[in-house]
Amino acid sequence: MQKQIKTQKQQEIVSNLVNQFGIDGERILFLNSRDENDPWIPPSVLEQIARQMEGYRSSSVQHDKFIPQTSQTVYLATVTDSLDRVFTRSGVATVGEINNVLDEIDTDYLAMGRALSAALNAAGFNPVKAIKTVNFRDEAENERRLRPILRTKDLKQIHAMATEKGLMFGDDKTAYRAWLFENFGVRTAAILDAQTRSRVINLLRNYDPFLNEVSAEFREDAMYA
Amino acid sequence: MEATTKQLAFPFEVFEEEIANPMKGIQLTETEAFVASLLLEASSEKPMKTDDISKAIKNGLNIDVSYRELKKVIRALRRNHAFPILSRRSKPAGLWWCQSISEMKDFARLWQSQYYDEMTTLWLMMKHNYPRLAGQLRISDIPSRNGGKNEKQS
Repeated sequence: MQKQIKTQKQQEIVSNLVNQFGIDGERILFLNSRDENDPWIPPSVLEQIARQMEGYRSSSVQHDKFIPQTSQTVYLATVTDSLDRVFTRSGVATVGEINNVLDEIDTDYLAMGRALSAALNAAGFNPVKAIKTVNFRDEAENERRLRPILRTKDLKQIHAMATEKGLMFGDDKTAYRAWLFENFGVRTAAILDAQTRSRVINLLRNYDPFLNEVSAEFREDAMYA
Repeated sequence: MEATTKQLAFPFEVFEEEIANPMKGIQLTETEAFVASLLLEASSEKPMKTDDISKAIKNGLNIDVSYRELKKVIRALRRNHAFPILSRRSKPAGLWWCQSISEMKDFARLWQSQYYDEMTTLWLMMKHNYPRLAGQLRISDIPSRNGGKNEKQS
């Protein structure tokens, strides 16, 4: 079985995932030609990680279709969180895309992993963003050390994104607080732990004011126009 | 009946509000934000000691902060940002974010008693010494025209 040779940065990412979630790091690959540090994680390992993340409930992956013209297979993954919110995303892989890595990675498995990763990301469960990347022996001590810094940094990022998405207008944070309460049961992101704040950031990143605020009727009208 | 229930989210809401919209338009400095954020984990039952805060600043920001400098940071948090950061010298000593009206009232009583104590001390010092310092001499101190001192007149 052929092994992928990883760069130092890639090895660090794998080590952090292994340390954080107790998974088999050998199964993590780096297949993204546009971002060499973007890991591909097998679906079964992704589920193993997701089960350790707060707010995750369940996920499923199913085949959607095969496109013969482009030799691509499409899978759909659905993630449900503890608030019964459902996130569905697709993943695509081309036959023969991976031709020099592990033999066990076939096209379907690749597409399944991508679909599940996209759905987990949309739901706010991004394992790579949730890991700590500094090399300290005492993880708890390091987390305590950085907690005040990370809280301020995350809050500033959340506010910037909330403003960009139209949830905050200067002093008016009504929509932002309502969105926070609806999605996380709190009115301040400062009270959340680092992992949950990461989910807030992910959800904000994927938040579409048009899709979320405009009624279906108007959306359809806009599409026809 | 006065509300004594702790509002656990209150300090976090105030902190986030100030990060987003600083009260006087003055952003928190890195050290101020660090200390304010650190103190969110303290409480009246488990306040954070100034030594521990200084150590945390050293570990987190790699900055050495003396006791005097830390006092300035706390003063800035209270004066410039109106953060309700309370403190106690008696056991358990330390600092924490206020979480209820009763905590604020207890703190106000303590500060008031310290204020009255200091004002009383000042008043005693001034009453005893101020007239003399202000130049109110005794008659025996006034020199006579011929160079000698006048006798004290009853």
